[in-house]
Amino acid sequence: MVYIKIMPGLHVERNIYMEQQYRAFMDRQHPSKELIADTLKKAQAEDESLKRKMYGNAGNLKRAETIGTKGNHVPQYVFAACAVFFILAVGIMRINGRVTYTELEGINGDASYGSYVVSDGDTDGEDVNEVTKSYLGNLDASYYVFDSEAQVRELDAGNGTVTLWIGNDGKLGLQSLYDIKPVKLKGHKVYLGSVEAEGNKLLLAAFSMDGKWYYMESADATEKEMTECIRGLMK
Amino acid sequence: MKVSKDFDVEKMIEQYGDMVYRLARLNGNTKENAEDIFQEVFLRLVRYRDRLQSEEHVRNWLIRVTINCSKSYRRKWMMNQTLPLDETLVAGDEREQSEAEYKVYLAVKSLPEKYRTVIHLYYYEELSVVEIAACLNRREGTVKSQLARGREMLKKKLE
Repeated sequence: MVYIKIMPGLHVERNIYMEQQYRAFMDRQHPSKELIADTLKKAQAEDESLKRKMYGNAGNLKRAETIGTKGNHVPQYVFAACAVFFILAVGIMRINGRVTYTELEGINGDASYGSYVVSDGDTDGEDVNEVTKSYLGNLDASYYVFDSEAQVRELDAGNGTVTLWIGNDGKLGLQSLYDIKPVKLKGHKVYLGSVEAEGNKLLLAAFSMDGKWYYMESADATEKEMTECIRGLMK
Repeated sequence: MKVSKDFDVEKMIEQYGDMVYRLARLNGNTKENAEDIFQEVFLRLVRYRDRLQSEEHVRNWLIRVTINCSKSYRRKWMMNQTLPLDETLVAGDEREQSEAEYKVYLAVKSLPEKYRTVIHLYYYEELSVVEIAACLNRREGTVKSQLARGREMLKKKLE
């Protein structure tokens, strides 16, 4: 039995007993020595790899500088004209290629935790405890479909990550995403959407390429970062 | 002052390791999950160290990235699980803790993320409302109301 002691009248209500219990539990949580050692080893390897990349870049910069010196004879107005043309072209391309993430109304991302898989032959949309193979029939828009055999990857996107599922089985993920109008990216039809999940905006994307279905989610990447990730996959 | 000049990942782990690990335990689904998050956060710290401006910035950055990583792992993990959420939420946690402590921990852990993190940072890490707002990029008023709502929910769960 846990007793709650509330101290009324304080500006911030304190529950001393509960705090003590929580603190006692958390005070005993430490990363293990093995975990720290392994993390250090990986971090040092990452550091070395970054340093190597930096030296590589320095070499490239030097080479770029040499090329720049050789090109001094090019009349400045030609360079200016090219720059203006380039800026205009990029501007026009950006306006044409602007992608928007449609907000999926009436869908709560939180609910997806409870209704994430429908097994083979289960057409009534009830949750099941066994992940077998995704059901590809007509599901309610608020249901998620996941292929248990899909490959799962984490992609870096700025300070956050994008989780990517690659499946052979058809339209993965939140079904309502496929109801919105797709946009074209590098010749592929891409479904871009967003939902509210635990008070945050969750970005969703899906497309088909080379016979496989790609489904992506990110709670912390920006729209720009997500779009860059999609473009990166289409290279 | 840039942190990258005298950046030492070992020192960072020594200084912030417990904070990151505890936040990961709270937000991850299992102990193994928390360990993965811990590693991921410090690897990112190495990668993005040039962006960090001060000690305070490092702490805020670590809190934010731990929460972001936890969300990604949580979603990834949930979608590959075979058990319903309620059963899997506690999977992998040690049971040798005293029942009362464990119960409070589970009650905090079962709160929605926005309340859980605020409660942990305020009561355990002893950050002020202003500091939490800066860490999580939320308004002070939002943090205050999330604290109040989180406390209410905890009270109900533990009654």
